Amino acid sequence: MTDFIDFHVRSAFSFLEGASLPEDLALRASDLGHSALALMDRDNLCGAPRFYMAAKKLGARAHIGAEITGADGDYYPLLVENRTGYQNLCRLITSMKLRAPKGEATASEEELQQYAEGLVCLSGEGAPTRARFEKLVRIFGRRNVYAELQRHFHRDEEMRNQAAIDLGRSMKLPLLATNGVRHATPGERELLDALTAVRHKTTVMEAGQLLARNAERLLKSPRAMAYLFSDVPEAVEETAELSKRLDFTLANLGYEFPKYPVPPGETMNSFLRKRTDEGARRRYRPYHERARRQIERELALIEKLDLAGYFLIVWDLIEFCRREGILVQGRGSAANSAVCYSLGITAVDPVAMDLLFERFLSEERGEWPDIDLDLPSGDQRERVIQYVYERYGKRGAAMTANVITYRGRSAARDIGKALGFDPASLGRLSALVAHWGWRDPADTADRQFKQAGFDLNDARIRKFLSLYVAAQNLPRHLGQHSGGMVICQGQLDAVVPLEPATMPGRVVIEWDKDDCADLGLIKVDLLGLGMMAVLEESIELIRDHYGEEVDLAHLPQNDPRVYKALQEADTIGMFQVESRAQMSCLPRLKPKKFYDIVVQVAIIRPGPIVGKMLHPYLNRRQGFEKTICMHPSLEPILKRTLGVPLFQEQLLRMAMIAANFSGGEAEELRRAMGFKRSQARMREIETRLRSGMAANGIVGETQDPRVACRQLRTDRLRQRLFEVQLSGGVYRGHSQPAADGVLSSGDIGERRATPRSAFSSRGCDAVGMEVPSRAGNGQWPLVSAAGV
Amino acid sequence: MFACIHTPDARALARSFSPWVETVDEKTAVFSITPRQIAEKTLERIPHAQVAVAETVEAAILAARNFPGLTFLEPGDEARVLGSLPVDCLPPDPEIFQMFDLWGIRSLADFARLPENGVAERLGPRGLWMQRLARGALSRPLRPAIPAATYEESTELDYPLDRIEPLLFLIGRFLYDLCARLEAQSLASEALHLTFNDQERMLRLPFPTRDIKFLLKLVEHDIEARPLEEPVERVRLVILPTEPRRVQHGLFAPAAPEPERLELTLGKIRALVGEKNVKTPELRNTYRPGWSVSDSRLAFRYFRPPLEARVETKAGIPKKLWTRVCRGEISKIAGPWRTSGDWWRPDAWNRDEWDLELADGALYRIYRDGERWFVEGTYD
Repeated sequence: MTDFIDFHVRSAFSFLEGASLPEDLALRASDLGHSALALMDRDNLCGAPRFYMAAKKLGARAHIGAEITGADGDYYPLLVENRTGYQNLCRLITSMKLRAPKGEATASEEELQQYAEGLVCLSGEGAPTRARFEKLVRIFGRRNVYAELQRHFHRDEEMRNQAAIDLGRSMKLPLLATNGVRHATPGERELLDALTAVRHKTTVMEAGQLLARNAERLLKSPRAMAYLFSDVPEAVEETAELSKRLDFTLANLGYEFPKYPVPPGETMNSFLRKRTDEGARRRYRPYHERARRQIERELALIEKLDLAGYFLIVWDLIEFCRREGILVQGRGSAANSAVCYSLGITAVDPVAMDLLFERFLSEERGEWPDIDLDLPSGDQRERVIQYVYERYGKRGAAMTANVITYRGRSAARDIGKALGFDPASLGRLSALVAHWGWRDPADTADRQFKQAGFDLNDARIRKFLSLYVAAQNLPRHLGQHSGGMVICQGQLDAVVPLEPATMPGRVVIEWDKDDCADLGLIKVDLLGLGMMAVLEESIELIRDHYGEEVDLAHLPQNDPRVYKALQEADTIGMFQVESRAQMSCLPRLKPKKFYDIVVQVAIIRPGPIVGKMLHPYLNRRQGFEKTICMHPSLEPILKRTLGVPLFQEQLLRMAMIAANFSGGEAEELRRAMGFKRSQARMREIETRLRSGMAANGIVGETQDPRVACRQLRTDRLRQRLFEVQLSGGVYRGHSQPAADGVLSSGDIGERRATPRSAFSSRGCDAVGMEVPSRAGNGQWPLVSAAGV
Repeated sequence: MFACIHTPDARALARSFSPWVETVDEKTAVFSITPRQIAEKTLERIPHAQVAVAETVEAAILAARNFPGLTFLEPGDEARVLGSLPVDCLPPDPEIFQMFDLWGIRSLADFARLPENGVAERLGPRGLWMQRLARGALSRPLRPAIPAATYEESTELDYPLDRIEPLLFLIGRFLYDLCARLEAQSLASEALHLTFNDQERMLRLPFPTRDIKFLLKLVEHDIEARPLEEPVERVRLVILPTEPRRVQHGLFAPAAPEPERLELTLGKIRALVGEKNVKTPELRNTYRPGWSVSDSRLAFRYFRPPLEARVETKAGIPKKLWTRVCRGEISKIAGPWRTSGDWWRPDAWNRDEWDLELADGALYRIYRDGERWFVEGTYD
């Protein structure tokens, strides 16, 4: 069989210059019989991790490259040959991007020369002149330049090809056939045209020759390419040779998490052990045997997995916050760890709460633990972020990216504009699709469009609909993740290209959090939380006015006043349980113990509500309905929530038991439930879930409730648990006025949904105090707490 | 000499010196006067007015706008006095001002010192004009503000005219008078408004002119294209005045036909084929075959309509061709050249074309539409 590898493939990560996702390109290439494929997006490596992961799954090789825009207006299609080449490409992209405003980055000839080692350059689609070829040879070396040929059935392109063949042969440069791919399948050409119109801020009707001349820039089979280049067979044969030569894949990225510097005579393990021991003695009073055993078990596993450095680096951040007087709390599954509790990362005692350490860190899962830190939003969080930059260097740490993809309204707006709809129709169309679940276009589109006054028999409306659906999930631009930071031992810009963020002083990597997880880059989430600022100031006020020191790690879990307030839905100002929906549910659920609060927070979420789990749970809790489990095998998992699945963890474990999902598959399910990724992926997993369940004899209606997992977004159980505990705790008894005072004080209160006056005056009236507010100098006035 | 006053109500003030006053803007008026007159009158009237006296119009304007009180620019001393002003006093021009910043030029003296040739090379004609202005060496006539005049002639005839020649003779006479008046005011015409009895017609001119012959020809073509419905008893002609055309032909600009001739030719064509049937050709921005320039490097002659052909193919590649005008074995062939597009329209296209050479050496382009083949044209 003919072997042909396409080395010049753009994905949708070329941002409006490609119409297919990297995964779709990999899949299509594999279907067509390509043994490898190279991704070459414009000036970035954003799509590389997804492309690599998809190819890996399909058993194909994923070559990495990028088209670099030169300062001379030309562009340079570069392919990575080895690790040095990859590092050079990352550094080249970083250096050109950090210098120029967004979208205007170009590489100078000196930069190209500086980072040329390990890179292979194709001659590209520009006019093949001797001067250009000689310039490429001068920069990259004769061995690393290929005369590129593309055939899309244009007369002028064929003239260029003939010139390239002549020049290549005369300069003894190998010829290389590519197809300059912009989309995977022929149908996507229409989407590409629409995106081109969006890019040029015009409509497809006006775009004219900016649009594609035909639909030939698709992935073609090796056979088709061999036929196309039958007059220059060496150009096709050369692709297999080049593929053999490029031995770099993202598997050997060369990323290393930074080592924590320890004093002489110490190892990271011994240092962590000492810090944990110190902390545990402070936290556990007394330091009882159960805690001691748990900590020992955790430390042993941390040592085994060689994670001491990671814990020490997080501990270092916590110490920085402590020194600087910044309130910080770990959230997420870290709350399951007694070591985290001892190091001051979290404030929940997992031993007392009976939490499972394996949910945080397990040997089998083989992934890095996830510690997220909540910080007061605003300046203080920024200080911590800047501390990380300072400590690990500007090019040693960066924020993770957030890929902004086309969704409902944004897709409707852009596609509608590209198809030349007038502003009024555009408004109606985007309003229509915003309320309409695009996931099932076939079901409802016709009726819904008709209702909105659009005729689906109209060709343009039909095109709109099909392009709108096709545009879903395509990346639109790169944003910045709210708090994820990636830290690296050495230079991060040799691992992934860095870009400047809109906010001055910030640098962003080109990959999002899932990409980082896939490629083993470790991130620490530094998240801003308005409530943290409230808590911080509350603690200050309590200290100043009541002379009492509140330790968040030692708040009582069973203060009856807190539960009474909760049962009465008197929760304004209580984080997570203050919304109208929460307040209407609280008197029915009547929380009596801590776990009830956890359930309360989890139940008012889109998942349980859409999945129709709210009422069964409330009915069962109030004794109106019998507690039955869907299937006997699921009883251990669902017993605590009265047979109703409420938490993501429950769904994952249900999938493992009922549908024989492996740990890895369960992890995939968790990610698919995340907000950002494709619905198609969710459907794929759902099919596997259903067939797995059928294999275990679970059929018919029993399967249905699990479909709700489609809606059950990342519901981080312990995150909520922890935060509620904090706010609930501070809210107890006599500290309530203090908390109210902070909430009503302006900058935090205003950002919250509840009107300030509602809680501030009422809260204060209850205890007979004046509503406090900041004085003109920004200082807190003395609170006159007559009734306390 | 010329004097310029820069103060609110400058025009009224200037008129008290001289009836010949050019109003530059609301606050600036320039006129001809002797230095002695201006000095005397100004001192006794408004002590705070900015007044300048210079040998040229522009130097007087520049000095009055930028120096307080009374400024006398002695002939030959303009450059020295104006030189102290900052370059910002010159009429704004972002590109040239950017260059000033780059070169470190702050005052008019700095600018005036630069060699003229260098300025012309780097800043073009506009730069040279500005430099002369900065040196106070720009000379131009005064353009007095004269109340707007109407350019209108009309007559009522004793007997109706039913032939075109005497009518044109009459209009020619009107034009002769009106154009002479336009010339006296340095103006030209931008449109002719003609009224025959009660029928009105407007002739917009493609460029300002006061060429009587040309205008008369235009009127003639217009009457031929749109003949009069009844004998004419009343004729009225109004010319709408405008600034005359100033054209500097570039050495490297492509030569275009004389606008007057072009307009006359178009007028003739309009009269022949009807106004609605005269269009300007333009290139369509699309790859649609026949709508855009072919990507071939050779000149191409289209057959209108395309010639239907019979084509024998082998493995999808044309081998033999039969048409009304040419036939034979295909000796060489290149293609397919593929275009498709306008997918959002009902008439979307998707076409494969071939370029071929017959045994006699003639080059043709053929294409396929469904099951039928056509010869689109031939390469010259």
